[in-house]
Amino acid sequence: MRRFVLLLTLVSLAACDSVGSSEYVEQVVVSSFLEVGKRPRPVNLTRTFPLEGPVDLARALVTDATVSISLLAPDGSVEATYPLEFDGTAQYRILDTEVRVLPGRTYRFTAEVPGQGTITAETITPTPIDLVQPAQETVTYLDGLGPTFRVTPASVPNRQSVYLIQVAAQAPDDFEVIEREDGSFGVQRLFTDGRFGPTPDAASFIENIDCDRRDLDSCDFLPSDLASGSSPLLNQESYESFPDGSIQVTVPWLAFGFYGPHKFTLNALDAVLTDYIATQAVQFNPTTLSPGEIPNITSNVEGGLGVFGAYAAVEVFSTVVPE
Amino acid sequence: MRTLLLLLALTTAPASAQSVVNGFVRDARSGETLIGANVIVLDGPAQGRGSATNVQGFYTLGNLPSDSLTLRFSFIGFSSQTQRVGLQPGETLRLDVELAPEGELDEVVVEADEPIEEAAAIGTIDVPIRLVQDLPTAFEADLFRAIQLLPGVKSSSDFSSGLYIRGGSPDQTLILLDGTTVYNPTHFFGFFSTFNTDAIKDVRLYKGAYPATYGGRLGSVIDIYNRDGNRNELDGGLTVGLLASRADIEGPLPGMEGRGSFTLNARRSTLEPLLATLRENLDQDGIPDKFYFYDLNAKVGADLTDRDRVSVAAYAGQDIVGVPFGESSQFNLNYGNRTFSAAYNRILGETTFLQTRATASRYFSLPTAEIFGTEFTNVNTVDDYSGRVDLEWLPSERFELSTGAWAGRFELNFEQSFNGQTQIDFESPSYYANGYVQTKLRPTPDWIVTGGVRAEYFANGDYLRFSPQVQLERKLGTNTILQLAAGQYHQFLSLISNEAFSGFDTWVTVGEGVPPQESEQVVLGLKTRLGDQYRLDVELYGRTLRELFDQRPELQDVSGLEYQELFRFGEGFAYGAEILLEKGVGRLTGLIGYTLGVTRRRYPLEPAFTETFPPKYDRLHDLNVVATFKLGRGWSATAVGKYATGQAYTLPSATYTVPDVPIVDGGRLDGLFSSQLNGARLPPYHRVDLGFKRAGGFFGVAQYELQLQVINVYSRRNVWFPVFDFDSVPVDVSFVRQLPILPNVSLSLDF
Repeated sequence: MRRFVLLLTLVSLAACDSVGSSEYVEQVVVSSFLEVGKRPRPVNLTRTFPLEGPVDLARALVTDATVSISLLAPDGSVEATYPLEFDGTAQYRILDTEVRVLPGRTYRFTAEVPGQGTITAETITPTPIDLVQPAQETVTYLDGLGPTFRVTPASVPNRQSVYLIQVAAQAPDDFEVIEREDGSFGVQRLFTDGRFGPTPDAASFIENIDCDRRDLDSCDFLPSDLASGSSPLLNQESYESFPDGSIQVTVPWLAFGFYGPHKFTLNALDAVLTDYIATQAVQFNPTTLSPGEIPNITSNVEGGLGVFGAYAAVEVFSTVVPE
Repeated sequence: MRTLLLLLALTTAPASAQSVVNGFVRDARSGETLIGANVIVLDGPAQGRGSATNVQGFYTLGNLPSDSLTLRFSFIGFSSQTQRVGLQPGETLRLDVELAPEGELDEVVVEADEPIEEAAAIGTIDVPIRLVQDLPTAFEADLFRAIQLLPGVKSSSDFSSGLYIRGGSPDQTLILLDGTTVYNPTHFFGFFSTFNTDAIKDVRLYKGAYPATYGGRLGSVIDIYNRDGNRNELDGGLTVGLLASRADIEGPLPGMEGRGSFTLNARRSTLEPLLATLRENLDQDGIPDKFYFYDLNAKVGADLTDRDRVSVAAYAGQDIVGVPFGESSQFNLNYGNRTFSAAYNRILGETTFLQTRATASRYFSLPTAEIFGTEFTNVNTVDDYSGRVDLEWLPSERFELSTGAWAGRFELNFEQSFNGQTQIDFESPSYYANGYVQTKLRPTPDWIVTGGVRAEYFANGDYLRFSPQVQLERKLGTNTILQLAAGQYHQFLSLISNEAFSGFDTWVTVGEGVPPQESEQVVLGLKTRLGDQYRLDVELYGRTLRELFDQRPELQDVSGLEYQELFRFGEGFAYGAEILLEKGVGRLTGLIGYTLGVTRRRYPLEPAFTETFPPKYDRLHDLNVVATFKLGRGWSATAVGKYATGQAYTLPSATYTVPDVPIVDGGRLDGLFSSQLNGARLPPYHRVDLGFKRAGGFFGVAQYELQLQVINVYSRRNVWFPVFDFDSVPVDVSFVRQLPILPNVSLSLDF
């Protein structure tokens, strides 16, 4: 019995809770995106904040870094380096206006940040997407599964392509706050010429918007929030493919909150952006994880946080008319 | 090998002209067999020897001397009974006994009647159904919430009845209802378990290192048997509660009084009037137009002869939820279980018992949604058809042998579609087969050695695994026993779930590139009686976990992925100590359960999970106190107190934003950074529940039972998890809290 108690005591000691909380260490956050065929986008370098403050907005921007983006040869050597300069406001911009992002190539991001050391990241750009068949000029709401268009798919090394579609109504109508009969505040469409109203489902949501006062900023939700949106990440295999290698993209009706002209942007993401966006979503929509279990975002940035990613995009237009 | 044979010879060699006593132990009022009832020899050369009834209520005491001897039969909640028998040399005496329920006679059983070695196997607890029904609970008496009070068992929150046993997730517990696997044991998204406590006869929980007679799960087993029904008279009951109402009827089969019975139990939620009122008075989206669950349990059984019995049991349970919103959008949940079993049991000889069973189990989860004209479906069904045979041979008190086989066909269907496009269509029909052999040796009166091995084959992936198990028990005097058990376990299924919401639960199986999960367990236990009224169990456990597979949390689209790409593969360990002090007799009864536990997991190939971390349900300390006091005049009071270390969660040290993101709506991606996953602890959890019960006659036509309960009497708002609002600077952190104070009332009538 005494031995048993001793064993129990040993287990108790071994089980002492070694779990601790994390200490705040300031890090630099990279925001750099390459679109295939386009000039590299301006780069943002910012700093993290401690969770519960204080927040020193004056220090949020990193303004004194030395930043460059390099194109690597297949053997890993540097083929070309493009320096970036701080524009005096918020971003670092590439100096060479003729530079275009090449498809299927490796790029390296480098930033020397005083006090933070060297930050690096690499990505491989996808191949471009070409439009094979544009979307119908006009589509009737809820007729079929949604507007469709065909493209040649992009490719990324060692995995199937992953896409993200952005949908934006080009002319949604404006709304104003009104006082309802019961004294509460809601919103009402203005019926502006050339603007288009919400779909029936969106309209029923808009009817239920509550505002605190006669000011759109006081509303719990804005009608304009239904005018644009992004899809989740979609694998290439989720699209219908054709013998010529093209794929047909269907934009589901779920994406439409308003009638009228729309722009669809189909983005093919590199592996870096795919992983970053997928794991970022887990932090705020944990699905199978326990609530409160928040894994870090998977990032390709070494020495900091954020993302240096690449994508290819194609834009398609179509107009949605009522049933 | 020679030593083993010698040991076997010593333990199996019957003494010349030894006698046997066997038979059923039944409830005198209903004729129901009693599982786990004890029989002990009170005098003569065999004094102190004992046995317990098996799951069919049958006991065997072999190798008895030809003599007159006194046997005492006992069972918790029943009056004990003493029988004097005279045995001739070589005689087999069939002695069926009926015990009167507590209250009908003055003398009530004390647990001390049972030989300490029969008290319970290591890691095993018999869950008293009466206690389950008396415990204060939110809305409905709930078996799993009662089990959560036992040491070694943790809950994830007030909102979940999921069982986290010795560091295992809920899918690591095999749940059997009348021998049939139940794949989703929850209602109301996990708030309640599916088991109607009125229908249950016996529940046995194997927390770990369970015997080779069971298999297919890494951690533990809950073996539930429904009531057979009253074989003496027609009986009925009705219970009205705040959330659900229950009705039952049972009685003898026509023309088979005393030999056959039936029982039918029904339970249904009764929220519709409340929802209708809400819909009429609140002009608001999201109020369900359908929201109910139901359970139906039915069982029919008959003794064909005094050696043969047949029975058929069926269960159906379902949750239906429909939530309309917007102009034409709708979200529907539809999930549930169906089980069926047909059993034939035969006493083959004086010491041999045969059980055969055909089972069918179906789990279905069919959520659908149509939002703005876009359809979503997520179909998961499991169909499991099996047959099993179990043979118990108890030739002497020194040697027992169990063997059996269980084979069947398991078919999994997992299909997701979005906007008419099929994203995943996975069908996995697979045959499976298990076989086991287990022996129990008593080389000396003070030693018991139990060993067995289970072979398990799953055709999908062609996986064959062997799961050995051994247990050593050493009696230390008449009141104490020291136990050591170890075993290896395998699991061919995994459950994709969310601890806060079980409505989308999805089962997946091993397959190409997805091997079976593995675990080794070791348990050291000490059971002792402290005087006549108290029993103390102490157990130390340790277990490993390998090849764990669950869905990669970052998956947004599964189209085109290889099967193994759906999963992340993990490992882990758990260890701890459990103390259970029980008081089973007197005006004050109850238990104190304490657990000191540590659980860790890691997923070596997942960047954010490579380091070992505590899962959310990991808690170092867990203390539960249950006390029931008989106040007199039909009144009794039950109090439950709980204290636990705060759950693990991730407290980020930093927030950040990636601005000017050209490919997402809003153009920004917010982020949280922490140096340790689940590295912080929520405030400690504590809560006290109180319940009062009054039982008595109801105008001479029925017996009534009125329950008045208060959950969380001091309305402690225990924290569930944090949420982060990036719209404020600095980021605003708030906490979602668990149940506030809740009253509960129910009235039961038993006709």
